[in-house]
Amino acid sequence: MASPSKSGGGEFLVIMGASGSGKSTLMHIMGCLDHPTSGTVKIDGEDISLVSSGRLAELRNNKIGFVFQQFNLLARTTAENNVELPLLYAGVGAAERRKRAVAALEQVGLGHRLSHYPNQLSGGEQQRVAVARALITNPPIIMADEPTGNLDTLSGIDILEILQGLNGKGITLVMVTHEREVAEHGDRIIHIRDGKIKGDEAVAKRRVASDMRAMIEEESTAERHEEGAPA
Amino acid sequence: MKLLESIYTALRALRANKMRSLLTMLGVIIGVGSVILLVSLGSGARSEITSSIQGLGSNLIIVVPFKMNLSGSMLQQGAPQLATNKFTLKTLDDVGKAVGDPEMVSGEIQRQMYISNGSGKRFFGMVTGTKSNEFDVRNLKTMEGRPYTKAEEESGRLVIVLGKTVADGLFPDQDPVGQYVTIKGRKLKIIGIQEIKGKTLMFDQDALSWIPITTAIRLFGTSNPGTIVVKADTSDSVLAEAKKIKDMLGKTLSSDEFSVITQSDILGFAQNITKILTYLLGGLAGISLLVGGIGIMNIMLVSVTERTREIGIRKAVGAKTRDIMMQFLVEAVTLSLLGGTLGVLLAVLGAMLYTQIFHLRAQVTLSIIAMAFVFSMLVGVFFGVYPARKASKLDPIESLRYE
Repeated sequence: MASPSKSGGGEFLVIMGASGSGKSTLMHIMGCLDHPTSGTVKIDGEDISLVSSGRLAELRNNKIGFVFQQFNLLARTTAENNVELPLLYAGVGAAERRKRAVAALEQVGLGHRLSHYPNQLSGGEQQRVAVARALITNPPIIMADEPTGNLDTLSGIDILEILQGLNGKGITLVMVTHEREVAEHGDRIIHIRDGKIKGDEAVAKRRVASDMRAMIEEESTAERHEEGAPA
Repeated sequence: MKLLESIYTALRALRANKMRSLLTMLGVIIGVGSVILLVSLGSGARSEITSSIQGLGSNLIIVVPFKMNLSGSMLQQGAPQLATNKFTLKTLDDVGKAVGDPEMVSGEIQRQMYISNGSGKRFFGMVTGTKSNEFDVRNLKTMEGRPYTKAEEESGRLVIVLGKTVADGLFPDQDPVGQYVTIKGRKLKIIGIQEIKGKTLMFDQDALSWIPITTAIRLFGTSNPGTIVVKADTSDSVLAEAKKIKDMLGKTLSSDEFSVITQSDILGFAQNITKILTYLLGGLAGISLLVGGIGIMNIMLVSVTERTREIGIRKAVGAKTRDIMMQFLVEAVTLSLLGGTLGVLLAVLGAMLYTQIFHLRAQVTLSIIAMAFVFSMLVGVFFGVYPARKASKLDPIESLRYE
């Protein structure tokens, strides 16, 4: 992959492309899950093609948070313990881990789901646990691979709202999606086809997730009114 | 990640699959349990044999009319010698002359005989004809009555000293001393009961009976002593006395027609045999521990495949190769150590049961337990390393995609 792409601090970058276009691979390489075969990726000025896999693990641990389409939570493990996981590998003590996990879960609105297991949570809730796990180490970058792909519209908007909120606090976001509507929540879209960047556009009219939710809620209220149901 | 956290994670993973963990441990439980139990039985037998041989008295010399090689290994021993007995009553006198004091020498003529109480009860046991000083030489005592005297021995009186088991078998409800028993149609008067000596390795020391040697010669129709026992002054003079006897017998008999054995010879031989026995048992049980280890490896490999996605997730959030390696290794070692602990408990229980049922000693020593622990841990490490390495080498992206 020889195409140049750059994400400045605090940017909400979206990678778009059809399936098989290489967008996930790009994100995996940017996310230090894989060494690039050619080209360079720099995180805070550090060229990751040159570092050991142990250093890559460290970078994943404290510079990057991941959110996946499949949630990827550990089964048979409570929400709290799932969120704690990155801190476990960072060598943080148990009491501190718990404190920060509770705070992170509260931040995504799941303060009441601490000891629930993934199979006791809805898809939207599971993804919010995943987001809490991604942000618990206070990473400068969060990578989201089709984070709304497995969710209904409203849950998807919840996630986008949280992501936009994090971006507002200065965290750089990289999101992969193939949906235009989702993509427009970012402020820059890179189009990928066959592993090459085919376009790089600034989003002219950025969607704001909280407004979208208000709109959808209004619509459904209106629908119910039309059906004669009580408001 | 710290070791304690790894152990906690491992315990949680094992608890999630209770049945499987238990079945996997079963191999180690049985392995460790049987190693400890069998080695304990072996060393129990050894200490029992040792103490019973020591009970013979450290200054006892035994002379037998055949070649007995106690210093060599069992394999060199060959078939038992069936040479004819060249010992006579004169040999007995010669030995007495050799050691300078005939009172320190006794001869034994032994036969398996039916002893009956005259009213139908019979007891099949060993009857030994000895000189009257046998009780002194062999350190035997009577708990009731008395041993036979020199006069009774020389005149071949029909008297007998019974072991406690024989006496109880023949006269369960009455005092046997003063009663009569019949051997080969001859009535013998019971003059004493031998002090209880107990069992040595299932062999009942109290099932023996003693009669004067002259009586035995009449009863059994032979005058060739099967054993000559000699008591040395002190345990230090045993070797010198044994040499005198050897030299003297060597004048008239060839080297394969007699052997002079001391307590330390027998002790060394018995310990040699029981040591081999213990190693053999331990080795056999060790094989089952090995099989248990292979069971752990098998399950850990299955577990790695099953949890590929978990490994991917852990790596994505920052787990290093070393962390994953540690997690699975600790899991394997935890399995084997838990199995080892249960195995130790099982062995201790088994040893107690064994002692209860068979009245034999089982020596569960701390060193055996410690050794079994170390071994079970080594088994965990040895058979856990390969699956753990496999897990730790997994590619994060591929494992995240794994369904």
